[in-house]
Amino acid sequence: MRAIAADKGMKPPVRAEAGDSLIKEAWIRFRRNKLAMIGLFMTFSIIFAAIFAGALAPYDPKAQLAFTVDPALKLAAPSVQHPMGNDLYGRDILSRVLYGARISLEIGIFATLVTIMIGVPLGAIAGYMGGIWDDLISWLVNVIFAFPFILFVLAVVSVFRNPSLYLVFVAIGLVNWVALCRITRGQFISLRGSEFVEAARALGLPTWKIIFRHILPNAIAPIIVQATLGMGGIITLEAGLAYLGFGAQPPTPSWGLMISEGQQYIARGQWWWSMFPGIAIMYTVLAFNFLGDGLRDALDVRQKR
Amino acid sequence: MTEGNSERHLVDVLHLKKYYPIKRGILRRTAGYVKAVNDVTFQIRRGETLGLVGESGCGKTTIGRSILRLIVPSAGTVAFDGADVEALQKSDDAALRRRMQIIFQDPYGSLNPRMNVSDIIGEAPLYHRLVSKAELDDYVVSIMEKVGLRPESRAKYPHEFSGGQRQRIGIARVLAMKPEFVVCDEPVSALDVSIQSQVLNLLADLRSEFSLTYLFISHDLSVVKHISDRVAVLYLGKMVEIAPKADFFSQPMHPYSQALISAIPVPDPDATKNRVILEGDVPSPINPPDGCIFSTRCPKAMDRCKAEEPILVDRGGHETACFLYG
Ligand SMILES: Nc1ncnc2c1ncn2[C@@H]1O[C@H](COP(=O)(O)OP(=O)(O)OP(=O)(O)O)[C@@H](O)[C@H]1O
Ligand code: SF4
Ligand SMILES: [Mg+2]
Repeated sequence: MRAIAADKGMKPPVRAEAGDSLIKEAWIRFRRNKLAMIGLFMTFSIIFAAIFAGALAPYDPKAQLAFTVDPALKLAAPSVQHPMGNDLYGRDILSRVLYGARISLEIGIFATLVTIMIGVPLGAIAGYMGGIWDDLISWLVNVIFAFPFILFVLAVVSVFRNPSLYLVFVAIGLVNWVALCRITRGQFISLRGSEFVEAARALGLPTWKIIFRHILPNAIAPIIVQATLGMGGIITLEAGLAYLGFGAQPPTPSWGLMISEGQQYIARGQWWWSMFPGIAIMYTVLAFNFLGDGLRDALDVRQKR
Repeated sequence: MTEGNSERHLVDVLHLKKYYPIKRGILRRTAGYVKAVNDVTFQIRRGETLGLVGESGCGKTTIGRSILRLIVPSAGTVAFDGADVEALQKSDDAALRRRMQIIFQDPYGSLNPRMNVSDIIGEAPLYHRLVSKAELDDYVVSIMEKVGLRPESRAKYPHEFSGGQRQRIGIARVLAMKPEFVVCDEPVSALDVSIQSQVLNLLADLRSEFSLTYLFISHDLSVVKHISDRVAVLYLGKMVEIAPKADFFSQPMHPYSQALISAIPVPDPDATKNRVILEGDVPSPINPPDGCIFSTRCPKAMDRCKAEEPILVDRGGHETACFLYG
């Protein structure tokens, strides 16, 4: 009666035309967006600096040239040899800013991973299961939101005498996951009620397939966008912590630390020690914001060309 | 379709109710219920197409999804080929799942935008082992041919197709499960009129080729007239009339059905028809009227209609819930 099964005759196999892959389409949209491309370029430049800091930096970032080479290099203004000048110990600021990219990115990436590992599963559970799970997780999220979370980070970090950078990004991640959790939860709630998920249930597909094949791929774009936008925030936060004396410790070439070390000299006209790392932070935050905004527009499948 | 009561019903809906609680205030107390489906009983025979009509919000979708247990009813039972569909929820009875499927109204929302057509059609049959991995591609190709899609386009994504083609993808996904019963929930209402009849004809062809049984939901009587064997009319979550198609369109009994039929546009302008225009709006399903639910708008309402509720009475295969007939 039911003869749907394929005719196993001599028929040659039917060719499949390549569809426009979703990634390719997103890339086309992304490329058309100037600010997004600028953001991508800026991000690449930071990553490049971080990876190749060793090769790019003209000097050892910790070498105190004022003692080893020439006392005149103490707080020397920008020059041809030292385009961003030197700090109190004669360390080359350009070299320190380049190495600083490494610190900032490392913190940004690890803290974001912690954020994703906590925020996405919890948001998915709250959104998909609903009920008591949702109540519980949403309550936790609200508490953390209402709490001045910088205090939490400080409390965690200050328990340790010599806090390692890893501790800093775990602490940041422990607080920052709530934004991703909210976004993931919202996505799961709206997708759980969507017709294609209902269709998957009608087809008798198991819950794990519904979550990983049907909901998650559709929820991933806003999660990526939020995580990218969050990178800028995390990097600023790390700089702020370093500035306050938590997080990176001297002589680590951390941007936040450099700003705090150099700030008292700004009033004396020796602005370069603080200013260049400040510009680096601004550049990084802008880069991730442009990139995140561009991704948001590019990853929206429903948006037609 | 063979007559006679010896044949078992394929779908048996008994006293089905679905009440959605309305939560109010910070404590989310239940302040009342939307009585979306309010004690509905009907049967669908094997091989027939039952058209389910009614205005927007009267509970058609809720009935269709309750039959597939995509919605858990508040009360009542649904039996499919003698088996209670509650089993779908408790143990997710895969065999039962496969036998009953649904085609959705929205050709955009019902397809996963991140999956290509081949995966959309092939995922479930592969999971349920209706085909092996090696046969899957051939299987998808043959199904796409059956529903009038170019198999060459199976690596494409839903957004690369038109509305009508997308609806064919939805039909192919259902067909690939080799179902016996399909709920068609307004499968053509979202499509251009020019495409509607193509999709309707496809559904009719597949019905005869694969001996399918349909519950065909629509708010458009002319669509229902085209495809159904019997017609069921729903008003405010209650069944008011069920009759064979010919009887229904020539002698509608319930005043609501009469009004609906008189409102169908007639191609012949000379045809004299007494249009019954209904007064007022559909009452809220939160506070349905006492007595006959149609009494607030019925042109023939009597005193009795406000006090008592008429039940669905079978008069030779033509069921109506109205006091005009005793
Ligand atoms: N999840 C829900 N929560 C609360 N009320 C609901 C829910 N789903 C449906 N309803 C209500 O139940 C009633 C019946 O809805 P249903 O979708 O079954 O109607 P329908 O006849 O399919 O309408 P349409 O023609 O618009 O598709 C409506 O009043 C609707 O607002
Ligand atoms: S029972 Fe009364 S109100 Fe209801 S449809 Fe019949 S005549 Fe109209
Ligand atoms: Mg509906």
